[in-house]
Amino acid sequence: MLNHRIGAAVAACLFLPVASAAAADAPVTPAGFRVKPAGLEIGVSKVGSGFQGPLGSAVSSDGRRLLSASSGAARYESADLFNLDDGYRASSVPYDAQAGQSAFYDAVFAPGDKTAYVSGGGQGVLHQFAVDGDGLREVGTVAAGPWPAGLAYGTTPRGSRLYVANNLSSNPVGPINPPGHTVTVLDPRTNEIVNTIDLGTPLQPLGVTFDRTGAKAYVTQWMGRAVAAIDTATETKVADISLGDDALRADHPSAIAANPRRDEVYTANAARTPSRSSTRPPTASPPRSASASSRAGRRAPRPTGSPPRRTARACTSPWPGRTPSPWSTSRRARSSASSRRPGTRPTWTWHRTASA
Amino acid sequence: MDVAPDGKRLIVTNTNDSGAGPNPCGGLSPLDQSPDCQNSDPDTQYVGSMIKGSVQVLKLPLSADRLRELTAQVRANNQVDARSKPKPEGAAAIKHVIYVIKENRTYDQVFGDLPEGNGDARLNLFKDDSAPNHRALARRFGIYDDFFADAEVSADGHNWSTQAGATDYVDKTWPVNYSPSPRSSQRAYDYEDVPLAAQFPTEPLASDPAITRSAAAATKGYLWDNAYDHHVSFRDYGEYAASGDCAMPPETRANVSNTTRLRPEFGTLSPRYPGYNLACADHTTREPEWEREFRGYERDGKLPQLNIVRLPNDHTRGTRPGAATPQAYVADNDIALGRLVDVVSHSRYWKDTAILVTEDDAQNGPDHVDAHRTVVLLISAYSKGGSTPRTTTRAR
Repeated sequence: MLNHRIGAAVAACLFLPVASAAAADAPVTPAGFRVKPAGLEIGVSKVGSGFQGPLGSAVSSDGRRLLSASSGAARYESADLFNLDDGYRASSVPYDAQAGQSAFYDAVFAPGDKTAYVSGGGQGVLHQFAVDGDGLREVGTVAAGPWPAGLAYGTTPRGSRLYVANNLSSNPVGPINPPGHTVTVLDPRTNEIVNTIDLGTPLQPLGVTFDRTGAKAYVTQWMGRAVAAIDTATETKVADISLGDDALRADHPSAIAANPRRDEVYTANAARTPSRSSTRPPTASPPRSASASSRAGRRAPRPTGSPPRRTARACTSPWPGRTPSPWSTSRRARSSASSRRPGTRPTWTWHRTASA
Repeated sequence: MDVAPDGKRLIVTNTNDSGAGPNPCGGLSPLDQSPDCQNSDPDTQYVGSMIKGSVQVLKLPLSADRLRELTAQVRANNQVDARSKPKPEGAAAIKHVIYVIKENRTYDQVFGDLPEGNGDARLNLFKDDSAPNHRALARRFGIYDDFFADAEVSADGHNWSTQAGATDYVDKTWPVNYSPSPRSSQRAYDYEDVPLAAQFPTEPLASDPAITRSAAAATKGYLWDNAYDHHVSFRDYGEYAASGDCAMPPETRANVSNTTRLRPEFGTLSPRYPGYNLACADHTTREPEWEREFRGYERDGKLPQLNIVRLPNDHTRGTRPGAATPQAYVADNDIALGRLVDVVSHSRYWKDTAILVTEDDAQNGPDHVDAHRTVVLLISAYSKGGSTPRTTTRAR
C-alpha cells in the first residue's frame, strides 16, 4: 500500500527523458499549481542518488554535453553528465559524505572536451574526469587548496592554467573553515599547484573567469561587493573592482562570466540586480552598472517621529576591547557553541543502515 | 546558466526543480518500523535531500518581445496575479500581530487524524496527549491543510519566516551543514543571528553602513527592517537572538541579538527571553516572560503592533538517549502556546489582535502530501472555524 503510494507520487513527479514526453504534461506543484516551463526540461528520477541541489554547470565546446556539480543535503553529492542532443542524464558519479567526499559549486571542461573537472568543496580537491561520449569516469583527484568552488580553464601568458577559487580557508585547529581569500593556480598538464594568489581580505571567493584574452582573471568576492582582478602574466592580484556603493545592487556577487567578443565580464549579484563591469584598462571609463531598475534601491521615506536611530558612535565599535581578529580561539569556541545546534540537522538516527 | 557555443541555445540548471513530494517515512514517522520504511532510502524521505534539479534547454531569447513573453510565463507559473485577494473580513480591525515561530513539524504529525482536514492518521504522532491545544485551536479557528513552508530547514527557514526569502549564500551552503557527517562539519551554521566576531567585520548593512551583518543576511527586508522603516512598533522574543541562559534569574538576563534592528541600542529585543535553547522550557521560561511583558502592555496600553515570539521546543531532541521524549517537548510547546492564546483572548487586546502561528520549516516529520506541508494557525476574534476550501490557503 505504502509503496504503491510512493510509486504513484514518483511517477507524477518524474520528467521523462525525451523531449516529446517532457513537454506532454505540465508539472503540477503540491499545492495544485500547474507550471509551464520554457523549452525542453530534462529531469531525473526522484529515486536514486545524484543531482540533488545542482549548483554550477559547464557546457562542452561542441555544445552537446553538460557537466553539473550537485551539492545537496544528501548522503551522495554528485557530478552529472547530460546529453543535450537527446535530453537525458547520461552519467552520474556519486560522492559519499560518510566517506568524506563532496562536490561543490562548479564544473569545467578542458579544451577538446575529453577531460573535465568538478570542484570538491570540503574534500579539498578537484575531481578529474575522462569524458567519452556519454561516459563520465573519475580518473583521480587533484589537490587544489582549501574549499575549491569556482573553476576557470584558460590559456594565459604562462600557458594552460586552471584557476580555482578557494571559498573557505583551511582551519588547522577545528572543523569550521573561516572565509577564504585565495585562488589556487594549477598547471593542467601536470595537475601541480604552481601558484597561490592571495586576494587579501577573506571575502569567500566564489566564481572565477578569464577574460576573452586570458590576460586577466576575475574573481567574485561573495561576502563583499567587489570583483578581484588578477594579472595572469604575473599571477598576482592587481585590483579590486567595486560593483558600487549601493548594497542593494552590488552585494554578494556570485556567478561570473566573460563576454567572448567585448571587454566585459558579468556578475550575478545576490542583492537585487546584476552588474556589468568593464575589463578595459583603468584609464578607460570606470565600471558601469547595467542595472536599470532603481525601485529596489529606493529608500522608504522616514516618517517624522519614527523610532530613534541609535547613534553612529554606538555602532562603530560594538564590542570594544574585543580582538578584531575574526578567527581567534575565543571566536571559534563561541561559534561552535552557538552553531552546533543539536538535532537541528538530521541526526541520521533514521538514516537506517539499509545500504550497510 | 550557460549559452551553448553556437550562441543559439540557453542551458539552465535548476537547483530546485521537482518539489519534494510525500515523505511517509520522514523523521519520527510512526511507520518507522514498517517494512516499507525500513527499506526506504533516507535521501528520498528527508526534505533537505528530496528535491532534484533539472536542466532546461531553450532557444536563446533575442528580442525584447520574446523576453516579455517569458517574463509573463514566469509570472503565470508563479501565480503572481492569483495572490491579490481582497482583504478578509475583520482585517481592518487588527492593530496588533503576534507572530509565533515554532520548529520543524509537518501537518500530518500534528493534525493528521483530524477528520475535517486532508490528513493521514497513520502519520499523526502528536495527538491530544501531547498537542491538545494546537488541535483545539485548529478546530476552533480554522484548519489549513494546504499550507507549505517555503524553506527546507532552519538555516533557510528562519530567513523565510522573517523576510520571505533567503540569500543565495544561504541556499548554496546550508546543504553542506545539513549533510551526513563528516561533511556537515565542513561549514559553520551562520544563517541566523551570528556573533559579530564570526562575521566579516566591514560588511555593512545597506540602509545603515555603520551596522555590520553576516554574509548570510539579506541586504534589507527583514520584518524588523520593514517595521522600522514604516514606523510600525515591534518587539522580538527570541527570534534571531542568542540562545540565552535560562538558568540565570530572569531579572539578571541580558539576551542580545547582533541582527540589524534587534541590536541592543534599539531596545526592541526582550532581554530576558531565551532564543533557541532546548534547555529552556517554553511553558516555564518563555511564555511566562512574554506574559509578564504583555501584562505590562495591558496596563500601559502600549502593546507593539508587531510581536515576534519564538517558541522553539517542538523542535524536540528526537530520540536522543537521556533527553526528554519528542512528546514531552511538544507538550511543553503546546501548553505554552495555549497559555499565550488564553492570555491574549482574555485581554483588552483580543478585539484587535491576530495571532499567527507557524513553523520555520517542516524538516523533521512525515507528510502524505509534501514534505514541506506544515502547521499554521490564524487565531483572532474574527477567525472562522472549521476546515477551509483548498483554494483559499495556498502559500506558494
